[in-house]
Amino acid sequence: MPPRFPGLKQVPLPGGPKNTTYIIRDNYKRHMYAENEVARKALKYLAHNTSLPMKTRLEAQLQLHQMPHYTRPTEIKNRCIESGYGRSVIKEFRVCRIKFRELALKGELPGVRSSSW
Amino acid sequence: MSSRIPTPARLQELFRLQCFVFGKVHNPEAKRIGTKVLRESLKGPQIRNYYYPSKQILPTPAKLNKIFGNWTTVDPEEEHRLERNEYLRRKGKGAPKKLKEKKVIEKKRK
Amino acid sequence: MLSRSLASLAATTRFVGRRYSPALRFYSQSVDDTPVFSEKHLYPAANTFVQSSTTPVPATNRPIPLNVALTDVAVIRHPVIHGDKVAEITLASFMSTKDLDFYADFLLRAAFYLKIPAKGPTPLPRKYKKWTVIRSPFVQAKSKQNFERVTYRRVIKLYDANPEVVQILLSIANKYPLAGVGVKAVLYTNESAEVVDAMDLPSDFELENPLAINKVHLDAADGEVAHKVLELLKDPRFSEELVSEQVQEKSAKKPTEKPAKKDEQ
Repeated sequence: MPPRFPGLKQVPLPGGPKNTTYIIRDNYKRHMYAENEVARKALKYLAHNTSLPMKTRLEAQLQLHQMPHYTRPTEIKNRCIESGYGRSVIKEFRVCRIKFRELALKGELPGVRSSSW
Repeated sequence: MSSRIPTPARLQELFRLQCFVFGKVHNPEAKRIGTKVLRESLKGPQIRNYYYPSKQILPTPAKLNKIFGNWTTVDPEEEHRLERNEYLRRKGKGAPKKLKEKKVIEKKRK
Repeated sequence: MLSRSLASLAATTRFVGRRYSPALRFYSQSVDDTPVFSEKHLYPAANTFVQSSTTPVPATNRPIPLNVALTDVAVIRHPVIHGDKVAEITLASFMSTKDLDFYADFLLRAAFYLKIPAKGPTPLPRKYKKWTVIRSPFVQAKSKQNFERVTYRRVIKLYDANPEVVQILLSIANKYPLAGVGVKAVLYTNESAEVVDAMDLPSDFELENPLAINKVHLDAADGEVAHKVLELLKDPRFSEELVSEQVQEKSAKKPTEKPAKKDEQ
Protein backbone atom coordinates (compact mmCIF):
# COMPACT_ATOMS: atom_id res chain seq x y z
CA MET A 1 0.00 0.00 0.00
CA PRO A 2 1.75 3.23 -1.07
CA PRO A 3 2.08 5.97 1.55
CA ARG A 4 -0.22 8.97 1.58
CA PHE A 5 2.69 11.40 1.25
CA PRO A 6 4.22 9.89 -1.88
CA GLY A 7 7.70 10.41 -3.19
CA LEU A 8 9.04 11.63 0.15
CA LYS A 9 11.44 10.67 2.87
CA GLN A 10 11.53 7.32 4.61
CA VAL A 11 10.86 7.72 8.31
CA PRO A 12 11.47 4.92 10.83
CA LEU A 13 8.27 3.19 11.94
CA PRO A 14 7.41 3.08 15.64
CA GLY A 15 8.27 -0.17 17.43
CA GLY A 16 4.99 -0.54 19.34
CA PRO A 17 2.64 -3.54 19.33
CA LYS A 18 0.40 -2.04 16.66
CA ASN A 19 1.16 0.24 13.71
CA THR A 20 -2.10 1.50 12.24
CA THR A 21 -2.24 3.76 9.19
CA TYR A 22 -3.07 6.68 11.42
CA ILE A 23 -0.07 6.04 13.62
CA ILE A 24 2.23 5.86 10.62
CA ARG A 25 0.86 9.11 9.22
CA ASP A 26 1.02 10.93 12.53
CA ASN A 27 4.55 9.61 13.12
CA TYR A 28 5.60 10.95 9.70
CA LYS A 29 4.17 14.37 10.54
CA ARG A 30 6.06 14.43 13.82
CA HIS A 31 9.37 13.68 12.10
CA MET A 32 8.72 16.29 9.42
CA TYR A 33 7.78 18.88 12.01
CA ALA A 34 10.96 18.22 13.95
CA GLU A 35 13.01 18.72 10.77
CA ASN A 36 11.30 21.98 9.75
CA GLU A 37 10.68 23.47 13.17
CA VAL A 38 13.50 26.01 13.00
CA ALA A 39 12.56 27.19 9.50
CA ARG A 40 8.90 27.55 10.47
CA LYS A 41 9.79 29.53 13.59
CA ALA A 42 12.05 31.86 11.64
CA LEU A 43 9.32 32.55 9.06
CA LYS A 44 6.76 33.02 11.81
CA TYR A 45 9.05 35.54 13.49
CA LEU A 46 9.41 37.56 10.29
CA ALA A 47 5.67 37.45 9.69
CA HIS A 48 4.83 38.62 13.22
CA ASN A 49 7.40 41.42 13.48
CA THR A 50 5.28 44.57 12.95
CA SER A 51 8.32 46.81 12.64
CA LEU A 52 9.36 45.08 9.40
CA PRO A 53 8.07 46.40 6.03
CA MET A 54 4.83 44.93 4.74
CA LYS A 55 6.41 43.11 1.83
CA THR A 56 8.86 41.20 4.01
CA ARG A 57 6.10 40.11 6.37
CA LEU A 58 3.86 39.09 3.49
CA GLU A 59 6.62 37.11 1.83
CA ALA A 60 7.30 35.26 5.09
CA GLN A 61 3.61 34.50 5.59
CA LEU A 62 3.30 33.19 2.02
CA GLN A 63 6.30 30.92 2.40
CA LEU A 64 4.89 29.63 5.66
CA HIS A 65 1.60 28.81 3.94
CA GLN A 66 3.38 27.10 1.07
CA MET A 67 5.21 24.72 3.41
CA PRO A 68 3.74 21.20 3.13
CA HIS A 69 0.83 20.40 5.42
CA TYR A 70 2.66 17.55 7.13
CA THR A 71 5.13 20.04 8.66
CA ARG A 72 2.43 21.90 10.58
CA PRO A 73 2.38 21.37 14.38
CA THR A 74 -1.41 21.76 14.45
CA GLU A 75 -1.86 18.61 12.37
CA ILE A 76 -0.07 16.49 14.93
CA LYS A 77 -2.38 14.48 17.17
CA ASN A 78 -1.58 12.58 20.34
CA ARG A 79 -2.62 9.01 19.61
CA CYS A 80 -2.63 5.95 21.82
CA ILE A 81 0.74 4.27 21.38
CA GLU A 82 -0.76 0.83 22.07
CA SER A 83 -3.94 0.83 19.99
CA GLY A 84 -3.73 3.91 17.76
CA TYR A 85 -7.00 5.29 19.08
CA GLY A 86 -7.20 9.07 18.64
CA ARG A 87 -9.72 9.99 21.31
CA SER A 88 -9.55 10.19 25.09
CA VAL A 89 -5.78 9.78 25.23
CA ILE A 90 -4.29 10.35 28.68
CA LYS A 91 -1.13 12.44 28.19
CA GLU A 92 0.75 11.04 31.17
CA PHE A 93 0.72 7.51 29.80
CA ARG A 94 0.05 8.23 26.08
CA VAL A 95 -2.66 5.58 26.12
CA CYS A 96 -6.37 5.75 25.33
CA ARG A 97 -8.96 5.23 28.09
CA ILE A 98 -9.65 1.64 27.05
CA LYS A 99 -6.01 0.56 27.15
CA PHE A 100 -5.41 2.63 30.29
CA ARG A 101 -8.07 0.67 32.15
CA GLU A 102 -6.72 -2.65 30.83
CA LEU A 103 -3.12 -1.89 31.84
CA ALA A 104 -4.07 -0.35 35.19
CA LEU A 105 -6.11 -3.39 36.21
CA LYS A 106 -3.23 -5.68 35.15
CA GLY A 107 -0.88 -3.62 37.34
CA GLU A 108 1.38 -2.52 34.51
CA LEU A 109 1.06 1.19 35.32
CA PRO A 110 3.27 1.95 38.34
CA GLY A 111 1.39 3.27 41.34
CA VAL A 112 -2.01 3.40 39.62
CA ARG A 113 -4.78 1.73 41.56
CA SER A 114 -8.54 1.81 41.36
CA SER A 115 -9.84 4.28 43.86
CA SER A 116 -13.13 4.75 45.61
CA TRP A 117 -14.12 7.23 48.23
CA MET B 1 15.30 62.31 55.09
CA SER B 2 12.62 62.85 52.42
CA SER B 3 11.77 59.86 50.17
CA ARG B 4 13.08 60.33 46.63
CA ILE B 5 10.86 58.95 43.89
CA PRO B 6 12.90 58.37 40.73
CA THR B 7 11.92 60.26 37.60
CA PRO B 8 10.34 58.40 34.65
CA ALA B 9 13.48 59.03 32.61
CA ARG B 10 15.61 57.37 35.24
CA LEU B 11 13.29 54.37 35.44
CA GLN B 12 13.42 54.01 31.65
CA GLU B 13 17.20 54.05 31.80
CA LEU B 14 17.12 51.38 34.51
CA PHE B 15 14.84 49.20 32.40
CA ARG B 16 17.17 49.57 29.41
CA LEU B 17 20.18 48.53 31.52
CA GLN B 18 18.31 45.57 32.96
CA CYS B 19 17.51 44.33 29.45
CA PHE B 20 21.18 44.68 28.50
CA VAL B 21 22.42 42.88 31.62
CA PHE B 22 19.98 39.97 31.40
CA GLY B 23 20.17 39.61 27.62
CA LYS B 24 16.57 40.55 26.86
CA VAL B 25 15.13 42.52 23.99
CA HIS B 26 14.52 46.17 24.93
CA ASN B 27 11.00 47.12 23.83
CA PRO B 28 9.74 49.97 26.06
CA GLU B 29 6.74 50.81 23.89
CA ALA B 30 5.57 47.16 23.91
CA LYS B 31 5.42 46.84 20.14
CA ARG B 32 4.64 43.48 18.58
CA ILE B 33 8.06 42.56 17.26
CA GLY B 34 7.77 38.77 17.41
CA THR B 35 10.10 38.18 20.35
CA LYS B 36 7.75 35.63 21.85
CA VAL B 37 8.30 33.35 18.85
CA LEU B 38 12.04 33.36 19.57
CA ARG B 39 11.49 32.91 23.29
CA GLU B 40 9.68 29.58 22.79
CA SER B 41 11.95 26.61 23.32
CA LEU B 42 12.35 24.10 20.51
CA LYS B 43 10.25 21.01 21.16
CA GLY B 44 10.93 19.04 17.95
CA PRO B 45 12.79 16.08 19.51
CA GLN B 46 10.22 15.70 22.27
CA ILE B 47 7.37 15.61 19.76
CA ARG B 48 9.22 13.31 17.39
CA ASN B 49 9.85 10.70 20.10
CA TYR B 50 6.19 10.30 21.09
CA TYR B 51 5.71 6.74 19.89
CA TYR B 52 7.78 3.71 20.84
CA PRO B 53 11.33 3.77 19.43
CA SER B 54 11.62 1.70 16.26
CA LYS B 55 12.44 -1.96 16.61
CA GLN B 56 15.88 -3.28 15.90
CA ILE B 57 16.15 -4.80 12.43
CA LEU B 58 17.70 -8.19 13.14
CA PRO B 59 18.28 -11.03 10.68
CA THR B 60 15.73 -13.83 10.83
CA PRO B 61 16.87 -17.25 12.04
CA ALA B 62 16.52 -18.60 8.49
CA LYS B 63 18.91 -15.95 7.21
CA LEU B 64 21.37 -16.61 10.03
CA ASN B 65 21.34 -20.31 9.16
CA LYS B 66 22.05 -19.46 5.56
CA ILE B 67 24.96 -17.12 6.40
CA PHE B 68 26.52 -19.52 8.88
CA GLY B 69 25.79 -22.79 7.06
CA ASN B 70 26.22 -25.09 10.05
CA TRP B 71 23.87 -23.16 12.37
CA THR B 72 20.48 -24.55 13.25
CA THR B 73 18.64 -21.69 14.97
CA VAL B 74 14.92 -22.18 15.31
CA ASP B 75 12.32 -19.47 14.68
CA PRO B 76 9.46 -20.31 17.07
CA GLU B 77 6.96 -18.07 15.28
CA GLU B 78 7.72 -19.65 11.92
CA GLU B 79 7.47 -23.15 13.44
CA HIS B 80 4.12 -22.27 14.95
CA ARG B 81 2.89 -20.93 11.61
CA LEU B 82 3.89 -24.13 9.78
CA GLU B 83 2.32 -26.34 12.47
CA ARG B 84 -0.91 -24.37 12.30
CA ASN B 85 -1.10 -24.67 8.50
CA GLU B 86 -0.53 -28.44 8.76
CA TYR B 87 -3.25 -28.73 11.37
CA LEU B 88 -5.75 -26.86 9.17
CA ARG B 89 -4.85 -28.95 6.13
CA ARG B 90 -5.44 -32.15 8.13
CA LYS B 91 -8.87 -30.87 9.08
CA GLY B 92 -9.57 -29.90 5.48
CA LYS B 93 -9.61 -26.18 6.27
CA GLY B 94 -6.34 -25.20 4.65
CA ALA B 95 -5.83 -22.38 2.15
CA PRO B 96 -7.66 -22.90 -1.19
CA LYS B 97 -5.71 -23.69 -4.34
CA LYS B 98 -4.66 -20.77 -6.50
CA LEU B 99 -6.84 -20.18 -9.64
CA LYS B 100 -5.07 -20.90 -12.92
CA GLU B 101 -5.06 -18.22 -15.64
CA LYS B 102 -6.64 -20.60 -18.22
CA LYS B 103 -10.03 -20.43 -16.54
CA VAL B 104 -10.12 -16.66 -16.79
CA ILE B 105 -9.37 -16.80 -20.57
CA GLU B 106 -12.12 -19.42 -21.08
CA LYS B 107 -14.66 -17.18 -19.38
CA LYS B 108 -13.72 -14.26 -21.63
CA ARG B 109 -14.20 -16.42 -24.76
CA LYS B 110 -17.65 -17.35 -23.56
CA MET C 1 25.06 -5.50 69.67
CA LEU C 2 27.28 -2.59 70.75
CA SER C 3 28.26 -2.61 74.39
CA ARG C 4 29.77 -0.18 76.88
CA SER C 5 33.26 -1.56 76.22
CA LEU C 6 33.49 0.65 73.15
CA ALA C 7 32.69 3.65 75.28
CA SER C 8 35.75 2.90 77.36
CA LEU C 9 37.90 3.26 74.23
CA ALA C 10 36.62 6.76 73.62
CA ALA C 11 38.88 9.57 74.80
CA THR C 12 36.24 12.27 74.37
CA THR C 13 32.55 11.56 74.03
CA ARG C 14 31.19 13.18 70.93
CA PHE C 15 28.47 11.12 69.26
CA VAL C 16 25.69 9.37 71.05
CA GLY C 17 23.83 6.75 69.08
CA ARG C 18 20.23 6.37 70.09
CA ARG C 19 18.89 2.85 70.06
CA TYR C 20 15.69 3.67 68.20
CA SER C 21 16.09 3.24 64.47
CA PRO C 22 13.00 3.72 62.27
CA ALA C 23 14.56 1.74 59.44
CA LEU C 24 15.07 -1.41 61.49
CA ARG C 25 12.10 -1.44 63.74
CA PHE C 26 12.05 -5.21 64.03
CA TYR C 27 15.22 -5.12 66.14
CA SER C 28 13.73 -4.96 69.61
CA GLN C 29 16.31 -4.52 72.35
CA SER C 30 15.11 -4.65 75.92
CA VAL C 31 18.47 -3.63 77.44
CA ASP C 32 19.29 0.09 77.35
CA ASP C 33 22.69 0.01 75.82
CA THR C 34 23.13 3.46 74.22
CA PRO C 35 26.60 3.44 72.64
CA VAL C 36 28.93 6.40 72.86
CA PHE C 37 31.95 6.78 70.59
CA SER C 38 34.45 9.39 69.48
CA GLU C 39 35.38 10.78 66.12
CA LYS C 40 38.56 8.71 66.12
CA HIS C 41 36.51 5.55 65.77
CA LEU C 42 34.06 6.84 63.22
CA TYR C 43 36.72 8.41 61.00
CA PRO C 44 39.68 6.11 61.32
CA ALA C 45 43.00 6.64 59.54
CA ALA C 46 43.46 5.13 56.11
CA ASN C 47 44.02 1.35 55.89
CA THR C 48 42.89 0.78 59.48
CA PHE C 49 39.94 -1.28 60.58
CA VAL C 50 37.92 -0.20 63.58
CA GLN C 51 36.52 -3.12 65.38
CA SER C 52 33.16 -3.00 67.07
CA SER C 53 32.85 -4.71 70.37
CA THR C 54 30.89 -7.62 68.99
CA THR C 55 32.16 -11.14 68.95
CA PRO C 56 33.13 -12.68 65.61
CA VAL C 57 30.28 -13.76 63.39
CA PRO C 58 30.39 -17.58 63.08
CA ALA C 59 29.91 -17.53 59.31
CA THR C 60 32.87 -15.31 58.47
CA ASN C 61 34.83 -15.60 61.74
CA ARG C 62 35.29 -11.84 61.72
CA PRO C 63 33.71 -9.11 63.84
CA ILE C 64 31.17 -6.79 62.31
CA PRO C 65 32.65 -3.43 61.27
CA LEU C 66 31.52 -0.39 63.20
CA ASN C 67 29.58 1.28 60.41
CA VAL C 68 27.54 -1.89 59.87
CA ALA C 69 26.84 -2.23 63.57
CA LEU C 70 25.71 1.38 63.63
CA THR C 71 22.83 0.56 61.30
CA ASP C 72 21.18 -0.89 64.37
CA VAL C 73 21.10 2.56 65.86
CA ALA C 74 19.31 5.75 64.82
CA VAL C 75 21.03 8.06 62.33
CA ILE C 76 23.74 10.22 63.86
CA ARG C 77 23.79 13.77 62.55
CA HIS C 78 26.41 16.49 62.39
CA PRO C 79 25.23 19.80 63.88
CA VAL C 80 24.44 22.64 61.48
CA ILE C 81 26.96 25.39 62.17
CA HIS C 82 26.51 28.12 59.54
CA GLY C 83 23.00 27.35 58.32
CA ASP C 84 24.06 27.74 54.66
CA LYS C 85 21.72 25.51 52.67
CA VAL C 86 23.62 23.67 49.97
CA ALA C 87 21.14 21.14 48.60
CA GLU C 88 17.64 19.79 48.85
CA ILE C 89 17.19 16.14 47.95
CA THR C 90 13.57 15.15 47.30
CA LEU C 91 12.69 11.45 47.37
CA ALA C 92 9.42 10.44 45.74
CA SER C 93 7.63 7.12 45.49
CA PHE C 94 4.26 5.79 44.37
CA MET C 95 4.48 2.79 46.68
CA SER C 96 4.19 2.78 50.44
CA THR C 97 6.46 4.89 52.58
CA LYS C 98 8.52 1.95 53.89
CA ASP C 99 11.06 2.03 51.06
CA LEU C 100 11.09 5.82 51.05
CA ASP C 101 11.95 6.04 54.73
CA PHE C 102 14.56 3.33 54.37
CA TYR C 103 16.29 5.12 51.50
CA ALA C 104 16.16 8.45 53.30
CA ASP C 105 17.81 6.75 56.26
CA PHE C 106 20.50 5.37 53.95
CA LEU C 107 21.25 8.81 52.48
CA LEU C 108 21.40 10.40 55.93
CA ARG C 109 23.92 7.81 57.06
CA ALA C 110 25.98 8.46 53.93
CA ALA C 111 25.81 12.19 54.70
CA PHE C 112 27.05 11.50 58.21
CA TYR C 113 30.11 9.63 56.97
CA LEU C 114 30.80 12.48 54.55
CA LYS C 115 30.51 14.98 57.44
CA ILE C 116 27.60 16.84 55.83
CA PRO C 117 25.12 18.33 58.32
CA ALA C 118 21.76 17.08 57.11
CA LYS C 119 18.21 17.71 58.19
CA GLY C 120 15.34 15.44 57.45
CA PRO C 121 13.59 13.42 56.23
CA THR C 122 10.66 15.84 56.35
CA PRO C 123 7.53 14.56 54.65
CA LEU C 124 5.93 16.80 52.02
CA PRO C 125 2.17 16.70 51.36
CA ARG C 126 1.01 13.68 49.37
CA LYS C 127 0.18 14.34 45.72
CA TYR C 128 -2.94 12.73 44.31
CA LYS C 129 -3.49 12.25 40.61
CA LYS C 130 -6.91 10.92 39.57
CA TRP C 131 -8.41 9.67 36.33
CA THR C 132 -12.03 8.78 35.60
CA VAL C 133 -12.51 6.49 32.65
CA ILE C 134 -15.50 4.96 30.87
CA ARG C 135 -15.44 1.23 31.48
CA SER C 136 -16.81 0.10 28.13
CA PRO C 137 -14.98 0.46 24.81
CA PHE C 138 -18.23 1.57 23.17
CA VAL C 139 -20.87 3.99 24.55
CA GLN C 140 -22.30 3.28 28.07
CA ALA C 141 -20.94 6.52 29.49
CA LYS C 142 -22.99 6.12 32.65
CA SER C 143 -20.66 3.51 34.13
CA LYS C 144 -17.16 4.77 34.85
CA GLN C 145 -14.22 3.74 36.97
CA ASN C 146 -11.92 5.93 39.04
CA PHE C 147 -8.18 5.42 39.27
CA GLU C 148 -5.67 7.28 41.40
CA ARG C 149 -1.97 7.51 41.94
CA VAL C 150 -0.48 8.83 45.19
CA THR C 151 3.02 10.28 45.34
CA TYR C 152 4.71 10.18 48.74
CA ARG C 153 7.63 12.55 49.22
CA ARG C 154 10.47 13.15 51.64
CA VAL C 155 12.98 16.01 51.72
CA ILE C 156 16.55 15.91 52.98
CA LYS C 157 18.25 19.28 53.36
CA LEU C 158 22.04 19.53 53.31
CA TYR C 159 23.93 22.43 54.89
CA ASP C 160 27.39 23.89 55.13
CA ALA C 161 29.12 21.38 52.85
CA ASN C 162 31.58 21.79 50.00
CA PRO C 163 29.79 21.32 46.63
CA GLU C 164 32.24 18.57 45.69
CA VAL C 165 31.30 16.60 48.79
CA VAL C 166 27.63 17.04 47.94
CA GLN C 167 28.42 15.63 44.49
CA ILE C 168 29.93 12.57 46.16
CA LEU C 169 26.71 12.02 48.09
CA LEU C 170 24.68 12.34 44.90
CA SER C 171 26.96 9.90 43.14
CA ILE C 172 26.33 7.43 45.99
CA ALA C 173 22.59 7.87 45.39
CA ASN C 174 23.22 7.27 41.69
CA LYS C 175 25.29 4.18 42.32
CA TYR C 176 22.88 2.59 44.81
CA PRO C 177 19.34 3.33 43.67
CA LEU C 178 16.32 1.69 45.23
CA ALA C 179 13.57 0.40 42.96
CA GLY C 180 10.49 2.56 43.25
CA VAL C 181 12.20 5.58 44.79
CA GLY C 182 12.94 8.61 42.63
CA VAL C 183 15.63 11.07 43.64
CA LYS C 184 15.75 14.75 42.66
CA ALA C 185 18.33 17.22 43.90
CA VAL C 186 18.30 21.01 43.84
CA LEU C 187 21.72 22.54 44.50
CA TYR C 188 22.25 26.04 45.83
CA THR C 189 25.40 28.10 45.36
CA ASN C 190 26.45 31.57 46.34
CA GLU C 191 28.72 33.67 44.15
CA SER C 192 30.65 36.80 44.97
CA ALA C 193 30.06 40.04 43.14
CA GLU C 194 33.36 39.60 41.28
CA VAL C 195 31.80 36.79 39.25
CA VAL C 196 30.55 39.40 36.78
CA ASP C 197 34.10 40.28 35.78
CA ALA C 198 34.75 36.73 34.61
CA MET C 199 31.52 36.51 32.58
CA ASP C 200 31.35 37.37 28.88
CA LEU C 201 29.51 40.55 28.02
CA PRO C 202 26.32 40.17 25.91
CA SER C 203 27.51 39.92 22.34
CA ASP C 204 26.66 42.58 19.79
CA PHE C 205 24.62 40.09 17.80
CA GLU C 206 22.55 42.78 16.17
CA LEU C 207 25.60 44.31 14.55
CA GLU C 208 26.21 41.02 12.71
CA ASN C 209 22.97 41.70 10.88
CA PRO C 210 23.78 44.77 8.78
CA LEU C 211 20.49 44.74 6.86
CA ALA C 212 17.96 45.38 9.59
CA ILE C 213 19.49 46.73 12.75
CA ASN C 214 16.50 48.51 14.17
CA LYS C 215 13.82 46.10 12.93
CA VAL C 216 15.08 42.64 13.81
CA HIS C 217 15.94 42.13 17.46
CA LEU C 218 17.98 39.01 17.92
CA ASP C 219 20.14 37.84 20.73
CA ALA C 220 22.91 35.28 20.79
CA ALA C 221 20.76 33.28 23.21
CA ASP C 222 18.08 32.78 20.55
CA GLY C 223 20.40 30.35 18.83
CA GLU C 224 19.22 28.31 15.88
CA VAL C 225 16.12 30.33 15.04
CA ALA C 226 18.05 33.62 15.06
CA HIS C 227 20.64 32.21 12.66
CA LYS C 228 17.88 30.98 10.39
CA VAL C 229 16.25 34.43 10.42
CA LEU C 230 19.52 36.05 9.33
CA GLU C 231 19.91 33.42 6.61
CA LEU C 232 16.42 34.19 5.31
CA LEU C 233 17.09 37.93 5.33
CA LYS C 234 19.93 37.38 2.85
CA ASP C 235 17.26 36.35 0.34
CA PRO C 236 16.37 39.43 -1.79
CA ARG C 237 12.65 38.60 -1.60
CA PHE C 238 12.76 39.41 2.09
CA SER C 239 15.41 42.07 2.17
CA GLU C 240 14.45 44.16 -0.91
CA GLU C 241 12.12 46.51 0.84
CA LEU C 242 14.19 46.53 4.00
CA VAL C 243 17.24 47.69 2.07
CA SER C 244 15.25 50.31 0.14
CA GLU C 245 13.79 51.57 3.42
CA GLN C 246 17.24 51.94 4.93
CA VAL C 247 18.47 53.73 1.80
CA GLN C 248 15.52 56.15 2.12
CA GLU C 249 16.37 56.74 5.78
CA LYS C 250 19.96 57.50 4.94
CA SER C 251 19.01 59.83 2.11
CA ALA C 252 16.62 61.62 4.46
CA LYS C 253 19.57 62.35 6.76
CA LYS C 254 21.87 63.66 4.03
CA PRO C 255 20.20 67.08 3.15
CA THR C 256 21.11 68.41 6.62
CA GLU C 257 24.83 68.13 5.76
CA LYS C 258 24.75 69.80 2.32
CA PRO C 259 23.61 73.37 3.17
CA ALA C 260 26.51 73.66 5.67
CA LYS C 261 29.04 72.85 2.95
CA LYS C 262 27.42 75.31 0.51
CA ASP C 263 27.71 78.06 3.09
CA GLU C 264 31.39 77.27 3.51
CA GLN C 265 31.90 77.46 -0.26
